[in-house]
Amino acid sequence: MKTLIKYDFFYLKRTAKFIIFPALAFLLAVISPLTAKYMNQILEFALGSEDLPVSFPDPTVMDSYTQYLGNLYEMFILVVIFVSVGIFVRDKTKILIPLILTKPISRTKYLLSKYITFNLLLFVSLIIGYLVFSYYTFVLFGEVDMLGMFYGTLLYMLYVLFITSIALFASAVFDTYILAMFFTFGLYIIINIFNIFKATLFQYFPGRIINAITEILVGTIEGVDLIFYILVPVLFIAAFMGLGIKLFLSYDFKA
Amino acid sequence: MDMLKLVNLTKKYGDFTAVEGLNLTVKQGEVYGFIGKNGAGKTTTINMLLSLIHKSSGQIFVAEEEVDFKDVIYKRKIGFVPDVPVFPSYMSAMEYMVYVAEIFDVKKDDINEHLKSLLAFVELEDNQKKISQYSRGMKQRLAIAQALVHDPDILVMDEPTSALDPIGRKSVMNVILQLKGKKTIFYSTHILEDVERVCDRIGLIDRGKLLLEGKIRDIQDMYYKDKYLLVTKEKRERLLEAITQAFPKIDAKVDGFGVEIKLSNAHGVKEILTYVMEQNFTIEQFMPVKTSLEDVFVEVTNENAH
Repeated sequence: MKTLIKYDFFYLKRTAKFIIFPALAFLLAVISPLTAKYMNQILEFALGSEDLPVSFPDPTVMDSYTQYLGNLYEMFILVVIFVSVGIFVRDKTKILIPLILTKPISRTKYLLSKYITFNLLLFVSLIIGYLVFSYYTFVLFGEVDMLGMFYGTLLYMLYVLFITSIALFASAVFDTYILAMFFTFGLYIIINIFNIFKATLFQYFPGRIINAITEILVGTIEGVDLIFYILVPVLFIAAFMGLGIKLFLSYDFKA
Repeated sequence: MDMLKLVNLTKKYGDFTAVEGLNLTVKQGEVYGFIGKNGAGKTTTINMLLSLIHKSSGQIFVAEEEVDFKDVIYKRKIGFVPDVPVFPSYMSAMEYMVYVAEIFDVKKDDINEHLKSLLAFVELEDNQKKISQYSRGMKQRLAIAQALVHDPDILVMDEPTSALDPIGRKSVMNVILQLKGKKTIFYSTHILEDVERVCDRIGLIDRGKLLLEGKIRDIQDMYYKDKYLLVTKEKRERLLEAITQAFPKIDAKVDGFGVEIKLSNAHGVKEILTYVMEQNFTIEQFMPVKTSLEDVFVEVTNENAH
């Protein structure tokens, strides 16, 4: 397993992926507080000298948090989807798998190694983003909830783990990048649609993790809610991973 | 010792049977030629042996131990060379060799020297280049080198020369010839010339069934022991006409400078030669024909098709 992880990292290092995610997290961490701080000026500039019917309140540190989380939920996760499917399905589409699996490598470990390696890269990227974001937010707003944002980052990582588990499952089911990508992206859209429903059943669905992060930052989160916000995505991850591995184990590869 | 043993091995895809009740044994140190047409079931058999695909029924034994699909330990005894090897394009040959050595947990003080010597053995001394820049032949030789990293007991080769140009093929064949006697080799191919050069024993598979198995010479003798070439001073077409008219049950055809005759039980050598001389033919040559494996291959597979 150690060797597999080492060489999965080697692959990431040899390709642009090793740079893309830390760079993207860094960029979003810099842009988000700036955008939040100067949103009023940006709007004034964009609308010219027209008289606005409403006046915007002065930005607060919460705007910075919201901006950053919004960017992570939209831009960062989209890149994660596109790249993760590519990483997981790559060995299959490039016919690299047969030569690998003729060596003493367990199929489960092979799949887990890819999942762990990629998510470690994402985690480190998010920690970089968290530190940079906290620094910029403090510089621009004079305050930052470091601990709250840290918990927020961990919860967001849980969401990332959930999305990448779907990508891994899709890569086990489908033989082409396009199909696996459409499946993962389709499920991502459906999960976000569930956010519209207020029913208790969907209250702790993985797409709602952003609510948990906001509640942590505002300081209104209940302990029981937090447990469910964590537990439900973990169950989803376990289900997708379990099914993905089961399918991968039963798959017939042709050398 | 039986290094490889397949017992009633079967693979079905729905109603289609790709491999049917295959039984074969490869002894230690032997080069076993697993021959058959494209689509005969060779690669399917190898895929089952390597647990790349699930078998429908039957048993596989490697070094006299039964193989389970989820078992990965037995793969330490096998080195695999595919027909079209695909390597990570971002790696160099040496990097790939190190990767394979680590996967197999090869413990050697002089591991780098070991890997370099393997690359030199397959004439890939220039091993710092990215594999993506390699030719097909070079990739095939790298495939052989990586299969030898852990010093396996058995080398499984799936048509290693089928997609190569003549120079690449010659180069790979030379490597295989050097391994002969040092490793047990299970060599799948449809290029019979290669088989005749390197194999001790062959198994012929067609439509998923093993049709014959044995030493090449024994098989040739078994199938064509009554085949002769008759050369006369007279035109070969005239000779053929005379023979086929007098002995309609005999299989004869113009071949080379004379007529090739395959004797049947109905007529013996003496009877035919006497007749030919009575017809005033002047015999220049009469000799048994050394049959090629290709002849056996064609005849056996044609029989199976009917």
